[in-house]
Amino acid sequence: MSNKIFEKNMEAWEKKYPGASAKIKELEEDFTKSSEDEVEVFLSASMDETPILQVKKEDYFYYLAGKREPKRPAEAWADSYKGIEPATVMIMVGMGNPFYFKYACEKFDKETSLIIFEPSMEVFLSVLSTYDLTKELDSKRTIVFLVKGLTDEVVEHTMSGLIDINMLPLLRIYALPNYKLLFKDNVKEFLDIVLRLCEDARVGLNTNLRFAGVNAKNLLANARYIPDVIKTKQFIDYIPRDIPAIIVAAGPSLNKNIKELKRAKGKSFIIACDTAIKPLLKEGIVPDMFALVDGKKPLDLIKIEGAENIPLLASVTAASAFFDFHKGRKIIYNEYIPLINRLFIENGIILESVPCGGSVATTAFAFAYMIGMKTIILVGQDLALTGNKSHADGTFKEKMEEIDTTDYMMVPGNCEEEVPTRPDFHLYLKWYNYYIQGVKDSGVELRVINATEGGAKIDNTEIMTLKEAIDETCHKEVNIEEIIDSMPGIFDEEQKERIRNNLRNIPAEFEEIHEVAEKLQEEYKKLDTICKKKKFNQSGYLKCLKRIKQQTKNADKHVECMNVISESLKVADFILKSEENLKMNDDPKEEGLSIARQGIIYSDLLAQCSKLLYDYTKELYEDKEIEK
Amino acid sequence: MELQDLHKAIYIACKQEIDMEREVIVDEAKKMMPMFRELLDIISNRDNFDMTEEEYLELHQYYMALLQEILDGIEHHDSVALYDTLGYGMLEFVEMFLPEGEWERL
Repeated sequence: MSNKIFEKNMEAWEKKYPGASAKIKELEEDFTKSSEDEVEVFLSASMDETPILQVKKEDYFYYLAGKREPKRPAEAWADSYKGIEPATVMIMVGMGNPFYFKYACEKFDKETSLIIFEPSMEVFLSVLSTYDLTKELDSKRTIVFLVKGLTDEVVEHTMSGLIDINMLPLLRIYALPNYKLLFKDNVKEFLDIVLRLCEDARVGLNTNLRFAGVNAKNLLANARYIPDVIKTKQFIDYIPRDIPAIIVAAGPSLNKNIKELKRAKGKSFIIACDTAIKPLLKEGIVPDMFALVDGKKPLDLIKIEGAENIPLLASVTAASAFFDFHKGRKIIYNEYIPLINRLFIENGIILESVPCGGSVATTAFAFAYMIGMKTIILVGQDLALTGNKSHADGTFKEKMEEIDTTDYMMVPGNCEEEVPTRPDFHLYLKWYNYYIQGVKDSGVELRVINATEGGAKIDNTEIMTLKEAIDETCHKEVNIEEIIDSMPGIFDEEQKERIRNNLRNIPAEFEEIHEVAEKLQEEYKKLDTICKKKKFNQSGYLKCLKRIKQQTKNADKHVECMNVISESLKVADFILKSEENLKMNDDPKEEGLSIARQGIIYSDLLAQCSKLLYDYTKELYEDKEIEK
Repeated sequence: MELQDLHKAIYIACKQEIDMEREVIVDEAKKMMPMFRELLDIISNRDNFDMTEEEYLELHQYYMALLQEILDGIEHHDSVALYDTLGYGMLEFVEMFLPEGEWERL
């Protein structure tokens, strides 16, 4: 397949993506030998002699570009995007008609990024051998190529790096004509990833906005307990694999079989979700661990005598009042919070993460899987409003009220044909389906028994009663309490002291950020004055921008504390970032005014927030003794 | 049938397909079939055309070829071929019989 065009394209490719052309060349050589596995691609020509590609499927030759006018539809399509926001990210599925790509490069704003997903390796190689793309590859535009068979391992990672809450309104997706038909499975697989990441970003936005301030407060308070925590990975070496893990959630069906759980105690690893702790303890069932992730969970829901000594799997941003109440062992996981990670990194310890899935039950499930449990039994995991109730009796209320679910979305049920669900439950249901399917596809042995006895059907699970599940799987006696008690802590005394010293230094960091914020505000005000003057002082303007840059660098020296502030200011941050994306000014005066306006608001918020956090951490870490 | 109606139907379907990304071309082409049949009746009547036999045959054959492409496109859900045939073949064919200025080019 190699020819001059291919070589020229590879040269440009190597310039744009250093080190990447070798893999394409290698695949291209292999590909010639084993092309029978792929779809058949044929090179043809349009009426004006432009090369066009055809794909043969079931004895029919599909054109990827029209034989009369291969370019005009592509040009019309690119023209239809005139005036879109410059920061748009355009995801194009297919490059079999490369004129779509070429016109996008020619007509879209230079700030617009292009993500090209090509589901067929043969089409990709044919395009590279047929069309000269050097002009487009030579441009400074951000262009990412994802090709099935070439970049499979990085598709999800790449897309997750691109899709976040700030760019959701700026995302556009277009599948070139015939692609959904010709490469249905590969296109669907890719679009499913994009869709899921968009949903995750939306959930993340809602959760983050809801928890913004609370999270910062909780994590700073909970950080005091870090010296004595244990981490999830330690469980791999301690918990036997020939017992089942039982995840007890607080869905309405829990009332049906809660008593049955008594028989599983001592023969399984029972992990309760936060809201399930009350009904369990009231029944005299002490779980081996319970999980808490919600920063706003009402304390009354979980504060019950006996709960304080049960090992706690918790997010470091979980309600700090409960951390204070809880006296037992605390197990944490990596949530990519720089301030917490700093405490581990400076002691040379890696903290592992758990893919939490958005709810406490999904976190508990992922934890059980990650520590190597071979059988996981789900109880009270309705993910639906079974019997028109959201939770089991004895959780939020002794007797939960019935809800009118007439307009609720219906999903297939475990026991009933269909059950009503609500959007958050439905998201968790999709998480289970996706996660368990992923485990299955990876070939790891995992048996998931859904013993909820009601609620929504989760794919790839065995449906049985809790009685049947216990009879079949709970045979071996085990004392989990003893096992967890015997687990060593992560840090030695020297490391613990290092962590405490690190925490004691945090108020000073916030104080320094506060000073920087005040200086920043002065500079932004100066910038505003410069830009409002009739005669524009360009040199003053540039000097002012330079000073702002320097002050911003000074604040960023305290990257971990700045991250806490940034989390606390999420709403403001979100608004500012959204504005930034939508406004592009060519006039430096206008641009300067816009920078000054946003900068004044931001530096004011930064000053307020750093002062509050200084006062808060000073009381937490200096005035009171850090937890020993 | 008014030829303007057929022209308008094709024009709108093509605009929706590409400019508005609505993936409607296959369904819209199916809906246009009665109009194509009516046009076939007109084309098949030699008396309707004041041209040489050779010119008429060429015209007839061209229309039949367009129709065949449209039928193939519908059968195989080939939206690229349908857009190309309708937008740049059939539309221009219909325009030959419409007075200048009464239609909009794609």
